[in-house]
Amino acid sequence: MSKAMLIDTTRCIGCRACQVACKSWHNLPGERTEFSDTWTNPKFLDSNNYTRIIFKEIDKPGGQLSWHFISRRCMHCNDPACASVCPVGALQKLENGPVVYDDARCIGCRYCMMACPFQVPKFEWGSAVPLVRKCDFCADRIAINLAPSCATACPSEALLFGDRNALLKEAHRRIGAHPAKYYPEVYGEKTVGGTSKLYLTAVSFDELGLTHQGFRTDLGNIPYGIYGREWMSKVPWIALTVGGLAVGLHYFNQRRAEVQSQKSQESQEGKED
Amino acid sequence: MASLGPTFGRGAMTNHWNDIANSDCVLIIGCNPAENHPISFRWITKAMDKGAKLIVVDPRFTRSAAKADLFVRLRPGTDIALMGGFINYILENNLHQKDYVANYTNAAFLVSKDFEFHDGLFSGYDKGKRAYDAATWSYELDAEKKPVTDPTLSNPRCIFQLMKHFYARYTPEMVEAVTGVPKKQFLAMAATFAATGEPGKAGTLLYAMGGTQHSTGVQIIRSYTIVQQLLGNMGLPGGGINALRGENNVQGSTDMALLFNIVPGYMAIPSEAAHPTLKDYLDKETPKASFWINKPKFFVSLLKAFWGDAATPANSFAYDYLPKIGKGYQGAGYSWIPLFESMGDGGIKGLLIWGMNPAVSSPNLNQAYGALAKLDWLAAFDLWETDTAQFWKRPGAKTKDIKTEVFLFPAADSLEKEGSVSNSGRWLQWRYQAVKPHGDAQSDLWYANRLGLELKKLYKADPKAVFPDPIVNLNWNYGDTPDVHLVAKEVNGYTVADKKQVLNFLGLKDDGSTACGCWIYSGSYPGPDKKNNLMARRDKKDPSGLMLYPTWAWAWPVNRRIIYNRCSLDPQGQPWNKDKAMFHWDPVAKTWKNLDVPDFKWIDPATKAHFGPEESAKAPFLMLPEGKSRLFVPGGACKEGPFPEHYEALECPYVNPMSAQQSNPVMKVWKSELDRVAQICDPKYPVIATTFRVTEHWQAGAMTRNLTWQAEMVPEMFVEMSPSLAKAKGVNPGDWVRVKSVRGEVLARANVTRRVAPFCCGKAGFANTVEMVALPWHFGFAGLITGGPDSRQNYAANQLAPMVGDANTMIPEYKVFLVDVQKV
Amino acid sequence: MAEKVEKWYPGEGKLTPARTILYVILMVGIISAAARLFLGLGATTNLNDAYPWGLWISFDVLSGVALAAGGFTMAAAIYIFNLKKFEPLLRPAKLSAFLGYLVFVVGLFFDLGQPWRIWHPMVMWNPHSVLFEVSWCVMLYTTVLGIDIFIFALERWKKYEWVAFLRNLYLVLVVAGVMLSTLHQSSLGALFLLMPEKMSDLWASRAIGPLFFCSAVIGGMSVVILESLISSWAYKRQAELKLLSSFSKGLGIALLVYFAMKVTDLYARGATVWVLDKAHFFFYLELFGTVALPAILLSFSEVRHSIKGLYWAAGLSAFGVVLNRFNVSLTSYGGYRQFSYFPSFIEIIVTLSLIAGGILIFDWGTRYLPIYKSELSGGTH
Repeated sequence: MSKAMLIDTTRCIGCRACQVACKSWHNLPGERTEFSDTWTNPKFLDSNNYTRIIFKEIDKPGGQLSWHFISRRCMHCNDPACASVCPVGALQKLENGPVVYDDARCIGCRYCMMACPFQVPKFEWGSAVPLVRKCDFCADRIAINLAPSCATACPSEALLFGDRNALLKEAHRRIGAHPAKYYPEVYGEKTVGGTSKLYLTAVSFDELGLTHQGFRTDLGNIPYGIYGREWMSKVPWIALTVGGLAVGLHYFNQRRAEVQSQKSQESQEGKED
Repeated sequence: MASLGPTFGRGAMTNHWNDIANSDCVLIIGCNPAENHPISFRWITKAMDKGAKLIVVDPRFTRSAAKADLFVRLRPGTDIALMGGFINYILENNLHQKDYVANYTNAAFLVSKDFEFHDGLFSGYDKGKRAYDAATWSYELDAEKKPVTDPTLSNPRCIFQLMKHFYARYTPEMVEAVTGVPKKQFLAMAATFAATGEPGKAGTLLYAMGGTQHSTGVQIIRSYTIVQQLLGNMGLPGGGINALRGENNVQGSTDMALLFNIVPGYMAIPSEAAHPTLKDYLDKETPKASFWINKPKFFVSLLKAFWGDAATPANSFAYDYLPKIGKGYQGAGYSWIPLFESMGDGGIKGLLIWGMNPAVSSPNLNQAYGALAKLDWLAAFDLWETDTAQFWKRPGAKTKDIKTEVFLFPAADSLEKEGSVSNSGRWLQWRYQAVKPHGDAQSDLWYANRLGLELKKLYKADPKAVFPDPIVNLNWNYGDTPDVHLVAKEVNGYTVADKKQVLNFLGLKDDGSTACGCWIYSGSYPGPDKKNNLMARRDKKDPSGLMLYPTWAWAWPVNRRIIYNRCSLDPQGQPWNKDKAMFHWDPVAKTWKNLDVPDFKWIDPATKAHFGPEESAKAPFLMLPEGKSRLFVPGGACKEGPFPEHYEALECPYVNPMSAQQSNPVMKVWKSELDRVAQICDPKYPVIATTFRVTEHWQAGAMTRNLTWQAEMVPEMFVEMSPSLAKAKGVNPGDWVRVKSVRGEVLARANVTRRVAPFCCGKAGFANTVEMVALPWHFGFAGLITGGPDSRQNYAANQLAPMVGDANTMIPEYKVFLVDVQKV
Repeated sequence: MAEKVEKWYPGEGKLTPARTILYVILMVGIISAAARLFLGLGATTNLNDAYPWGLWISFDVLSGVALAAGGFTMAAAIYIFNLKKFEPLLRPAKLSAFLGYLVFVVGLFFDLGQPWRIWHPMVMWNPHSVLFEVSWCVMLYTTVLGIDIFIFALERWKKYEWVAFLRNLYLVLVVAGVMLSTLHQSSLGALFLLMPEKMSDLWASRAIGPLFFCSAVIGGMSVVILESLISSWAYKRQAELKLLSSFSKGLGIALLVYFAMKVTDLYARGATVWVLDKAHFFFYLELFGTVALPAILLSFSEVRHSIKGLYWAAGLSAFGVVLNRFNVSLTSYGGYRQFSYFPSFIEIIVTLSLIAGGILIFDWGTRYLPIYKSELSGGTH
């Protein structure tokens, strides 16, 4: 059964226990940061920050202030672009949900970083032997039937861990029960073919202004990996066609040239004759 | 706690954390649970899932406010005006819970004819002493010295009518003029929460330091309690008035008398003047009615716990050994502020600082630093070298002039020691040692034990020691390496003769045959073995379905989860809300079926016969002599008056629109050179300032500023200011600004946000707009991060705050003062 | 034979100022590359999480390979389309192609986070990955080119029996080369099929594979022309103008085809073409300045028959291919808004030194290998 996490941002109180729990479980160092005007800190996801809360102040239609706390991390796509593009198969989608990474395989080409529609994989730029880093959905915890560390730490149950189908049902139940409270779409239900992180928000990510901070709403419902695989499925046929054509044309043109030179020889001979 | 005690009888959160989920409406005022009690939001959110409304009243738009159905922006320090208006709204619109008010509060009591209130002052005020003679604030008594009541609540001198008249002045227009809350918003708030006045509905009120840290702090909380009494929200699942304690064991610390004015179990500390002998103490302090008639048993047992065999009937159980409170510094006892005032004056020579960081948390810090520098010695027990432990090398200190000898003792953290903590909901929860203390660190108990043993030895050996007996004779047998279970068992209490643990405080005696370290904790460890340690219980059974979890840990008193729980039933013993019933009275069998421990008279301990509900309806508040909770507090138990009246903060940019009395008439104002305050409407300090905490840091920051994972989230000192103020001062977001009060200044980065906004208040015709800034007070000058890049700066916000205190608790007014903001 | 072999060297190996500069660049580049290896990518490049791919991918990998397409283009023209007259252009094209791929491989080596694992794709397979396919194709094609160059070396060493043996496999090598090139030249474009949302609409096309292939042919042809012109200038030989002008006709046609493909693609996708912003500036520069303009230029016989004209037309086309690769992978790539990218000194110097190294090896190759021998000894099969 594929596991997932329902991230109900309307329940999030922005306490950032998830950030600390994540660093604690993954033994990640804290950073020397500076004051952040929005309170979001550290400023970006990077190889030492797999998850963070984005603080977003926006005005409600009536001019009233609203303040949103949006947890950002790897979406763990059902059909992840990163895993699809990795030339050495270092990234893998596990059957139970997590998209995991094998340190030993990675060559550091960073194609996953380029390909991820959510711009999640990050590189250890500070290291001379760098690897890619991102949220691993605490696959090691899930494997022993524990919830991910962030969900375990979340006091307000904004991070709900469970079976994807059940969580989707729950998400739609919430939308149905409180239509005024929720934007009526579950981000991640269908986005790029569905993800293991399912977001409920009060307003759309467009309205939150987060489309360029990892929550694009124009990604469509097709998993991006498909484009690569589609191409790859054609490769053998292109190879055969090109190879065949090349051989064929070679002999055809050679024959034609021979015929032509014969003809010209003949005509020359004829003239001479 | 000083307002809940006089109002209901006990100074504690009435319900508990999980119970918030049972609420129909949650009113958050003077606290910020999403940030400072994040776990509580689990239960608030659960309540909201079931349709509860959330109202947040705060000067700032906080993370709690972000989750609220209704956010009310209140000018700091004007809670009483808002609540006064709310009380008026309830009474004007007849929304109070009638049966409840008539039966369970003192609304029907008649008040002395001489009681008066005029232009901000109650009768009996002595301007010279800045104090009241509370003689007129009393019930009218009949010939049998019993209070006269009018159950119809129509007598003009009954409390209900007096209160109605008193709060009639708090009209919605007046509320707007004082608090800055628009009338429409005020009415929306009032209507939403007043809906819980309907029988069967429960509203809970959560508060913390935003309510208490004012010069009118006690009366602010009093005003909250009146609202809850009128709406009949006490004693119910999902109701109550819940003081959110800022630390996981603050409740424990007050229970165990870390306050200057009590001994363990909320008994007053004996006073030199009033209680020269044990008899004086017991006579004067034991009321004639209420459960407190048992006080001699608790007090004598406490003395027996302190001095064991040395406490005999002949020496009044060593009563003379017990230190008595004198006048204290400038006649004000020894609460926080006078302690520092006295240190500054050279009165106090040594200081033990235990897991505390006053070099950041104390108000008017520069004064506090001066006080610390006058000490002969200072011993700090902490996880880190805190700002306090290095106050002598703080930025700007003249180190060579400071003679104070500083000792730093490494302390074990919470995972390195075993023992109990008492949470806000009065649950005593046992915790185990996960790992051994690192390095030379030792538990606080180890240090205390060592100190006790050493002192005993020194006093015993010193022939010139003055009155060594109280120390030499201390009953102190916890071993060289102290056994925390021995302490817990002593706290529970035992019979002296056969050292058998008592079952609960009903087993305590006033003849010296029992000893008990804290009577309210009696029952937590009722047997000799570790399995009898009820605090260690971890059973998740919940027969009531109300999240009472009676076999999870242990709650004081006697494992009662919701106190004053008789109020969840109507006078006939039927629950107001059948779906949330904790007790079932079977009128036929005449028996009770209980899901929580009754906080009322239900069984005769001798005959085991059950009392009918009429019996307990007479006294739903066992701890008060009149048995009813108090809308009107008689006898001067609250020093500002029996009803809360709005006064402005000491430093205030507005003239009090309510009365000619600008600020709290009985507030203690200190007379020292450093106690500077800004003038009212001071043009040099035109901006209101308030202080706050964030989730990411812990109190004075000693713990979190040294943890990288915490530090990276909120790394630098900042000041929240509105875009309009930033524009006026030419400040850009993220700029460093200097915030100045008459007492000091602090550098902070500008957090320009609409989360704070200016207030427009003042009497009609005199209204003007005043900006507000808000500063987190976690930062300082020591540790991994201090609050900014400059090691020569002190980033502590409390350099700005005044050293003025509430008249009852002396709690400092951190939440309102005046400043100016300048671009650096 | 032996006497003829002496004449294979078109110039002397003197330390001319040009060579000195190239050697200096190469040395600085080698030091910089060492710094990159020991200090890591973060310390030496301006790459960041929003711009994980930079100059080295855009130039060394994408542009390098496209410009090195001359090898397979010429091989296809000569052996498959039997245009034997272009044979004199074949050997330098093959050498430059080999060097182009060397630049690719070395550039990639320094760009990888774990360069010593560059062999991983050989044993750790992910057949879904376009990059996996590209690595295999490049590896195989570089081997094919290597065999070609090895044949030149064998000729140099006069191992004619070996040469004869390998020539028997020639068709296999040519077909393999054409096939592999077709695949990876277009697949390099297909790498970007997965990130349309991060690219400007102007380049984010589903047809990016064929477009890359076509522009690679243009890149290869332009480089063949430029290289012939430059080497004749450098080694003071007579330019093969007649041959080149005939060849440039082919380039003109390729440019026209490419232009048509681009326009059709943009039209079919309904991309917004007429806007003035940074992306569109580069787009106009690319489409009109480096595709349409050289195509128009080449339509004039005078241009085709003048050295200057050929320089301009081929130069613009080659620049256009490079510009296209930058546009696809860098200028139109939208990372985080707060991040920007401009290559660091080390990135630039490593790239320059790769070019310098390529030129030096080419220079060396032309002198020590029978690259321009065809004009002396006639065509070889």
